[in-house]
Amino acid sequence: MQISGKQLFWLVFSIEIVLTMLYAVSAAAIEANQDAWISMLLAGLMGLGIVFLIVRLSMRYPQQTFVQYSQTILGKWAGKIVIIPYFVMWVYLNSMVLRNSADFVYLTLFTKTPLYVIMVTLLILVIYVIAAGGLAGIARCGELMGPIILVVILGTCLLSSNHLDWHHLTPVFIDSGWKHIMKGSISGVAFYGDIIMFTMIFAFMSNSKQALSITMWGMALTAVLVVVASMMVIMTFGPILPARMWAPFFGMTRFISVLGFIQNVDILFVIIWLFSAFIKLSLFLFIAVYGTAQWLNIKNWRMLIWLMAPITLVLALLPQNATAPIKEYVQQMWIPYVIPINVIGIPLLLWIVSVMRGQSIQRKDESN
Amino acid sequence: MSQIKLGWRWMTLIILVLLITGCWDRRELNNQALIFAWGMDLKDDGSYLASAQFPIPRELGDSETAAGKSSFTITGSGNSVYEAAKDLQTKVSRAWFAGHRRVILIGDKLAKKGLSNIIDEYSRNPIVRLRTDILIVKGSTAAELLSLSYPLEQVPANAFFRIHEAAGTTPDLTLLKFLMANASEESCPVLPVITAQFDSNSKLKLWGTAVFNKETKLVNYLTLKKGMIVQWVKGELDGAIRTVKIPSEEGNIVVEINHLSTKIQTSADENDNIRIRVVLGAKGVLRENNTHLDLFQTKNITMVKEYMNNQTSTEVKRVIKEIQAHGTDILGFGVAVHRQHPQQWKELKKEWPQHFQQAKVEVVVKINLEESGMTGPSIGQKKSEIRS
Repeated sequence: MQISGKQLFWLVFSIEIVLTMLYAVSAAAIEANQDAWISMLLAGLMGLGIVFLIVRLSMRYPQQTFVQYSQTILGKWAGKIVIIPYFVMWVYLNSMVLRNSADFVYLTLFTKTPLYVIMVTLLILVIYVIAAGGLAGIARCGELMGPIILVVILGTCLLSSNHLDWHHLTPVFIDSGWKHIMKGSISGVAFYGDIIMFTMIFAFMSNSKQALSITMWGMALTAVLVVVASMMVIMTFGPILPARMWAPFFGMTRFISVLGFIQNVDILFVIIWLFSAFIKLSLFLFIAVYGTAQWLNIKNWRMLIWLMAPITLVLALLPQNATAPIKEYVQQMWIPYVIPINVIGIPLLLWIVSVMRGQSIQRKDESN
Repeated sequence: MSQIKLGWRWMTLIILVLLITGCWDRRELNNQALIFAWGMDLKDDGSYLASAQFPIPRELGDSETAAGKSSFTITGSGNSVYEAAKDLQTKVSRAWFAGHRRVILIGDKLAKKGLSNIIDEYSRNPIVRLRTDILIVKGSTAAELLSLSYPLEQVPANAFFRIHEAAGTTPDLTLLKFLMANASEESCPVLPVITAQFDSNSKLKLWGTAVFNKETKLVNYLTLKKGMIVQWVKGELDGAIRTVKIPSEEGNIVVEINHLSTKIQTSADENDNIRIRVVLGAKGVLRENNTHLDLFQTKNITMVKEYMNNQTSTEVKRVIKEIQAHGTDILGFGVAVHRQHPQQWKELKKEWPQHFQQAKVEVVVKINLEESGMTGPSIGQKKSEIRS
């Protein structure tokens, strides 16, 4: 299982863009109204910072996954204990992505279809791609679907541009101030924090020297598009309404009408949403399965799918309401725990320890 | 080994086929009644009367059909929009589908009581698009208007939309603009007004603009002429005509204006006294000269221009005064103050309706008469009557 630089780029892009675009913008608008795009810009910069941290850390051990090098750095037992928060995150994140993609289909297309049917269908597909294709299969899907996602997003932005009013962006900054803009950016960071999952992926790169620049580019493209998207949402719906909408960018897609006959293009957006959800879900489930196998020293990692997939399904079915979970999940789980501990705290700790212990580990690693 | 694998594949395939048939959400077009227009009224007992106009599929597309038979209207009542809609369903043989709804009519009685209780459904339901026209019915009820037939359109629902469109606006942005103004801290929302004319062939007439306060209650009507001035001040008007009265003459002069522009300059002193200067610009083309003036003369043109600008600014001032008296900022003054004095706005916004009422407004109109047509003096006048 090896992935190329190009594949990594499209994986990063298609996993980060859609959810951030849909949900983070409205969360930022609650705090910063017309300055939500500044929040998203800050979130993008912080996202790039996180990328820098985790790639630099991973590149100290280019042949090892996160589960392996945490043990190399901290020793066998401490290294294993440090993985526990990640284990919780993997399982939980998978279930939320699954739940959310099913919710989206449920809300936009199939209001009478039971939720679990949509979930099981999606899950079967995901299990198939993991079991049959492994990481290489997922990466190839990303390479195929990523460009489509990009084209549809650019097309949506282009078609929405006929009734934009840039006046809605003014006054810039004075109304909200740093405090609210920073607060608004946190939810963006929460979505970009997903990138921590890639610490399990870099070890599979055919040319690991490219990892930093490619991940940076993928994140930068995402961040720029999200900033553009949030500006467009504000220019379409004004400073107040986006904060009250479930997914303002999708609302904007539904609003497209060019010359009275290019309408209802939102169905294209539903398709790329499913593409993104599929790649995200299969990659994250693969990581959860593969990471758990490495963590427990199980040789045949594929067996664990049959354990992980049902757990994911059950957890995904727990929340009752269709639109509330994603926002509450970000507010209650991701911002107070996952971002400070999993995304920043532990990687930083590992990096510091690794730098302090220095060259000897790396040399030993190379000789292995 | 390979046989087991093959068996697994077949199993998966069969399960998938069972799952993806999608029977739950099957919606056949010929089992549905499409709603093209929707009406809401307030009944005397305080409940809502919803009415829906359905096109009759068999009659559509047939150009021979006499107008008026191609649609029918059904009403239902209840204490909420959705309840009324469910009551309505009991009278229709097919499941209704609101995804194609382009027009919502609201009776003035309901509008005076306030729209906040019914407006939510129009943006919450995922089936419905935000791109909807919404009109206030003055003088009769929405249900009455929906049951009228309209000679020019196969589906009468389109008549509302197109009458509104012909007046030079983008009708499908109406609901969004209403919601945006209602949510904003500066502005009050407006909606177009339509009335029924039971004695005329056309049956419908675009009447003007309805002004709402911050509680989404209808507080004031503006005629089309006044509504146009509001649009001009907001910078949303494309063109209009002005009739100029020359005091020394008997007839009048008609000028078509286009390339309209608006500039709003605001100032606020330390006692929160607001001064607003509205500069309205336009290019004018003289269309009709019913006076004795010879318009080959520059001095006459200058005179017409001065009278036109003075009369227009007086009229604009009068309209602004009337709106100020109601304390409903539909002119975009609050937006202008917010953008030009963002720091002071933080204080001003707390009592903006009062500040808006007390603001001193100065209006400057600069219409440039660029073209006066192919004739100088009016052709229809005797030579002795022409004044240079």
